[in-house]
Amino acid sequence: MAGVGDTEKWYQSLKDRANFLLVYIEEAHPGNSVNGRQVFAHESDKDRQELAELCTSSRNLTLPTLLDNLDNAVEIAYAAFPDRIYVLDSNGVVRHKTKPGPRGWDVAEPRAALDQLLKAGSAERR
Amino acid sequence: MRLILTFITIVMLTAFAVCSLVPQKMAAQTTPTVAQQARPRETPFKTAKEFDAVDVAAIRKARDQWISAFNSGNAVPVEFMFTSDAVFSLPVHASLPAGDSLASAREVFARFNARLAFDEPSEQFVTDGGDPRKISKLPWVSYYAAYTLTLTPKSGGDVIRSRGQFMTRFHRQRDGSLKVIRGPRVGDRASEFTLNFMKRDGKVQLSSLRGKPTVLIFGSYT
Repeated sequence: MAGVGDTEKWYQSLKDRANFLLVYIEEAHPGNSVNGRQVFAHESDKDRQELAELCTSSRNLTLPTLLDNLDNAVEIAYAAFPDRIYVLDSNGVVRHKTKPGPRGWDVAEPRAALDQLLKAGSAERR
Repeated sequence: MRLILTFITIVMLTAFAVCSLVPQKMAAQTTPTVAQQARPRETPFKTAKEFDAVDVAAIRKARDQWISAFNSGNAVPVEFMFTSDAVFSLPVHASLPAGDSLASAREVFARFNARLAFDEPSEQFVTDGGDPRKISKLPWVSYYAAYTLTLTPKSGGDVIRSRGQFMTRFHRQRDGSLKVIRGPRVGDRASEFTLNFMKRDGKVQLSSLRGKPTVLIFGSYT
């Protein structure tokens, strides 16, 4: 996951004004080693949960984390593999969609999109 | 004499018994458990020879369809075959804006004569769990291959050539065909889902979060 440190800072700075959800999906590079541990494709819900916990704890991520089901239905619906960010407005409409990671995006773009949404929302309430 | 023969027999039987036991003990230490045998750990990357020939043919057909669409210089069949992803952003990354595939394709084809080719001997396939036999049953496959892209500016100037490794994610359609998957585009309502929290201490339904903007961050450990 690219830019995870920035993602956590982003969450911490705006968690009261927007919902943030990390959706843990299938491994982008099954067979690779991370921090000395070889990580394989998930073969059970338990595998996915264990690796999600390892990923978030080792990277100090405190965002609310969801587990996609093993059929990868949500990942497929969002074309989210290997990683990707969507920003939705308060009505659930997609307002920003990054290119797929890991080099297709950085947090700056979706962050700017969210700032714009929050600014527009503040203006509407006035 | 009988005593000597009896002794030799006992020694031989003992030696045989010991020799029989040693491999069994070693085997007990090295043979995987049933659970391990049932869940082989292996690389998910497979070559064409490791896949069912019918599936390989279907994947190559889908690949050839969108290469043909791309090389036709017409954005419409490209839009039909695949969407948003990095195929347009890789080689001309700095000069094209992020956007959906149709806008990107139109811009590429307006500015360049584009030629894309894959190196078939380099291709690899990935499907769920590293089991190539599952591909007929599963709705998706990732296709990796070395590519060569040539963009010749229509208005003159330097030809842009790009080579690298490219991944395409095909999604099986209801009619059995394979197409590159599409996510919701900007302006679409986000697809509904209900998923468990990581600690399995509750679920969240996306639509229940309306009222505030929502950021969805997809990813994995690797």
